[in-house]
Amino acid sequence: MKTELRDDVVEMDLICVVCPIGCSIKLRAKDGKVEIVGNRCPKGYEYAMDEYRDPKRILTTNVRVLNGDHELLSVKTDSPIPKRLIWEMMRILKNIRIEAPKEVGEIILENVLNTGANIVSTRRIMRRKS
Amino acid sequence: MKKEKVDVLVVGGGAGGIAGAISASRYGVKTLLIEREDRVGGVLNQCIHNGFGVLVYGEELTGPEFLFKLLEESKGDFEVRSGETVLRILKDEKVVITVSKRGITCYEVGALVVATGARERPFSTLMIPGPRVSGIYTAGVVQKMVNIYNRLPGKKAMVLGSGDIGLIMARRLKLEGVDVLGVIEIKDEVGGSLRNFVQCLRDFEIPLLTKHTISKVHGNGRIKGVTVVEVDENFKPIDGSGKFFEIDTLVVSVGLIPQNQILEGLVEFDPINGGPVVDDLQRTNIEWIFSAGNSIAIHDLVDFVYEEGVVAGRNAARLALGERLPRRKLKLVRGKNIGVMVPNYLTGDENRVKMYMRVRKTMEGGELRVQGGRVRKYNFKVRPGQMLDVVLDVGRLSFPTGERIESCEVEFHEDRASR
Repeated sequence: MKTELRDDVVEMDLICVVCPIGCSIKLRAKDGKVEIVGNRCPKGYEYAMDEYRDPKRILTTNVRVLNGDHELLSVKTDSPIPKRLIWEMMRILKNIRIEAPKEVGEIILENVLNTGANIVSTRRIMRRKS
Repeated sequence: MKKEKVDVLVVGGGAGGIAGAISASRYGVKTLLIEREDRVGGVLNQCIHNGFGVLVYGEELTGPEFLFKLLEESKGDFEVRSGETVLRILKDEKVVITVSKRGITCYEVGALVVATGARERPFSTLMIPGPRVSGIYTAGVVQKMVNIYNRLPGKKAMVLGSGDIGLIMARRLKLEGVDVLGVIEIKDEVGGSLRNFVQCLRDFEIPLLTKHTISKVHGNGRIKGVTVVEVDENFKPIDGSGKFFEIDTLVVSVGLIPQNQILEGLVEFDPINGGPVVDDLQRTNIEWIFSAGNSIAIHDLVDFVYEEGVVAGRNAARLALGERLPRRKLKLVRGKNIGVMVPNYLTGDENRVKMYMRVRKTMEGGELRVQGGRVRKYNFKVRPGQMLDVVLDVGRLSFPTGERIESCEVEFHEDRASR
């Protein structure tokens, strides 16, 4: 959760998800200076910094399959993508159609939205027997 | 009726069963896995989100990828028959009778591994007033509709229950364009993991309504809405707190129940786990019947289910090969703050035994003790929603000599000073 107080001050209340401890981290950035409190380890510091700079997530979803033994192919981004791009990514993935068959790990879309991440298949889909 | 001999029969083709079959077949015994549905994998097929396999494979996989790795590992060392289900187990004869499209089969087995997973607790068990309308689904059913069958349940939804499955389905529906009004949780904190809370609810600005529940369902034919009320510390609705939410879909995620009917009346059950009592060999009180995974107690991680499956399969194979397995020597008894706990007995067969348990209430920290000795210290919050796994150094425990079974207490000692 991010609160922008003034143009130059950002405050965030975060829950670290690096490990199950789940530290409550407070981040305050002012004039480019970042203050982080509440983390118990360096990984938590990194997590908070990433959440401040540009939070990234792995996106998992499904795409439509043509001539497959199932209607959907489950896919994921093979590396974390900026959170702010998730909805745009979903729009792209909703509008594509993939021809069966597909193997696990096959690239469906390369370097999507210039993130450096690929959309890869996470399931094996066979061609429908007709 | 066909008759067939197998060394190890595994019932259930989810993560636990497949792990069990892999592990048994490594001993060179004839292993057969039967699965009721038409493909193996169980719930892994529909869990397209990631977070599986960190302990087993050292990387974060989605459910289908975890299944793929598991099947790669097996390399066809055992036979799989899908569309086949158990009718009866004959205890004294060591016989399992099954049915499938191929007919009825009578298996004479050396050992049996039951890994039949869990079912979702249905909405009707909550006794919430209102008409029995359509549009109320359990989370797993919605997950199958959305991720396998490409069908959305509705346009405007609420989720009841903030366990991991509820959180994941809230995000899933939101990503698919459903308006998710919120997740309702009767307790004062999120039920699932913090990571899922952050990445499923916070990331998508889905509200979590803690200390709330549904007091009434509205609708005629199809659900039109729910009344959501605040509850007090005894979970009783607070008068005047009711608020109407218009929805066409209610997703219910109020817990899982171990599924093990095929063992009912046959083996001893643990009422708190909701499944068979097992020892550290994953063996029930019937020496040739083993059980693993969610059919004995509800686990949080597929990795834990896998680990239990491996133990069950290994010991089933040892028995089928004619080895005399050790008997139960030490009973593990729940002490303070311990709820779900696996296993229930130790045999002394292994020096290091993996234990899985849940605390009964949220605590800021403390230590887990067995026979009064510290097994692990927790410097952070422990919650019932998060299963604890520890390796017990059995060599440090005192075992009884002779024939009698003694007991030792497992307790979570709350550390009040921590924080």
